[in-house]
Amino acid sequence: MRSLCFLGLGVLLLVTQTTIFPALPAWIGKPDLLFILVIFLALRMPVFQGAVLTLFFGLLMDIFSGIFLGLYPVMYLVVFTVVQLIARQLAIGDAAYQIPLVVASYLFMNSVVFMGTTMLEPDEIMHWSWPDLLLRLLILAVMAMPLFFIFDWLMGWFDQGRPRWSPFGAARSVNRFATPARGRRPTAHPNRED
Amino acid sequence: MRKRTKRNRKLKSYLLFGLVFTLVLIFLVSTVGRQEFSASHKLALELVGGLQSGVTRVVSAVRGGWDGYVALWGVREENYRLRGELQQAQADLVKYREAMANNVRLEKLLNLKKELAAPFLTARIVGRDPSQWFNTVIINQGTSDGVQMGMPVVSGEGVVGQVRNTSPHFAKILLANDPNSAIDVLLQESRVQGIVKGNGKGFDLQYVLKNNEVKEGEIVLTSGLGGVFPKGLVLGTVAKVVRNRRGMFQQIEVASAVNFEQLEYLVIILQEKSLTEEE
Repeated sequence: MRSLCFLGLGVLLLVTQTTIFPALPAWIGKPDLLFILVIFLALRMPVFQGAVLTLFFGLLMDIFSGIFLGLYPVMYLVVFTVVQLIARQLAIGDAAYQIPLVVASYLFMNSVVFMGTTMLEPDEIMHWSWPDLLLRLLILAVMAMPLFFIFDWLMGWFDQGRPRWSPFGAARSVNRFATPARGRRPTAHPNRED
Repeated sequence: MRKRTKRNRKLKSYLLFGLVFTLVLIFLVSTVGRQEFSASHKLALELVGGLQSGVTRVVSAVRGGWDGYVALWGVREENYRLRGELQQAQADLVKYREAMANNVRLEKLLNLKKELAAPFLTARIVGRDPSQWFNTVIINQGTSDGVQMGMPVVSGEGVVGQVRNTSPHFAKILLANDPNSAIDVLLQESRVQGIVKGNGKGFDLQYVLKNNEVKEGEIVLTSGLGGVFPKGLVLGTVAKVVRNRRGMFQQIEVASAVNFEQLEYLVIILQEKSLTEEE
C-alpha cells in the first residue's frame, strides 16, 4: 500500500513537471520533483522497495524525456545506490543534510548524463549551461525540505499512523551510532529489511 | 548467531541490488539497440499521457481564465476613465484583436495545409520534456490516428521536428532544436546545402565549405534529401557566419523560425512510408 501510494505520488509529480511547470514563466525554472522523491526513497525506504520504485520512475522518465531508452533507469539506480551506500556510513538522512544531498546528487546525475551522452553521441552538440543548471539547483534546494516533509509525513502515516518528521530531529536520525531509546533494540540501519 | 543473521541480511540486500542491476542490464541490452517503445512503455504512455492531457486542458483553461480576468481588469480601469461609454467598445476591441490574431494564426496553418501535398493531422502538445538536456514533447495523437515513427512535424511558422516514439493515442516528438536532431537543408538564395543540427536553444548549420558565399538573413529551407521532410519547408534564417582560419567549414548559426517555447498545436505530415520504416 505504501509503495503504491509513493508510486502514484511519483506519477503525479512527473505529470506536474511535464504539464504545469512548462506553462509557468521561464525564471521559475523546471524543478525536478521526481528526483527529490528518488533521493527520499534511497534514504527512507527499505532497499528492495526503494530500488523497484526507483527503477519504475526511471522507466517512466525514459518515456517522457530524452531519446535514449534505458538512460534514466540506470542513472536513477546509480544515484539510489550511491545515496544508500553513503547513508549506511554517514548520518545524511537528517533534515540538515537534505538540501546539500539533493543538490550534490542532482549535480552528479547531470554530470554523468552529460558525459554519457557526449560519449554515446560525439557528433551531437550538447552545451553545459551553468546558469540553467544553477537555477535548477536553487529551485531544487528550495523545494527539497517541504517535499521531504510531505514524504516523511506520508511515510509516517503509513508506518505508524502519525507524522514521523521533526526538524533536525536526532531522535529519528539515520545515524547508526545514535543512542537507542531505553528498552529498544539498537538498529543497524533504518533501511534494513526486517 | 546474531552476527550470522546480520551477515545474511546484508547478503540479501546485496543480492537484491545485484538482481535489480542485472534486470536493468537485460533491459538495456534489449531496448538500447532498437530504441523503440516496448508494450510496457506504450501502456505507461497511454496511462500517464491521458493524465497529462487532462492536466494540460485544466492548465489551459485556468490560464485562459486568468488572462481573461487580467484583460477585464484593464478594460474596467479604462472604463472608469471613459465613464462607462467605452466599455463595450474596449471589450469589443480586445475581442476583435484576439479574433484577428487567431485568424492570422489559423490562416498560416491553412496556407501550410494547402501547401502540403501529403495528408496531415493536427495535434496538441500535452507534455514537455522536464530535462535540461533534451527537447521533446508529447502529443495527443498516436498510431490509431495514423502517426508513425519518423514522420515530419511542422507548424505554421516552419519545421518543428519528427515523431520519435508512438503509442496508440500519444506520440513523442523530437524537436528540431534538440542536440540529437539533424536535418538536410538548403539556403534559399545561394542554394548552398548543409546539415542543420539543434544546439538546445537554436540551430547550427554544419558542413558548409568556406568557399561558399553565405549571407546573414538568408532563409534556410529543408532540402528534401534524406526523405524525412518535404522540400521547401522553412527552418529559420542565417543569424551569424564565422569563417575561422582553421578547418574546412564555416560556423553558421541559424535563428529558428519557430518559437519552441510557445508551441501549442502541431501538424504531422502523414507520409506513406517514413524513413525509419524504410530502414
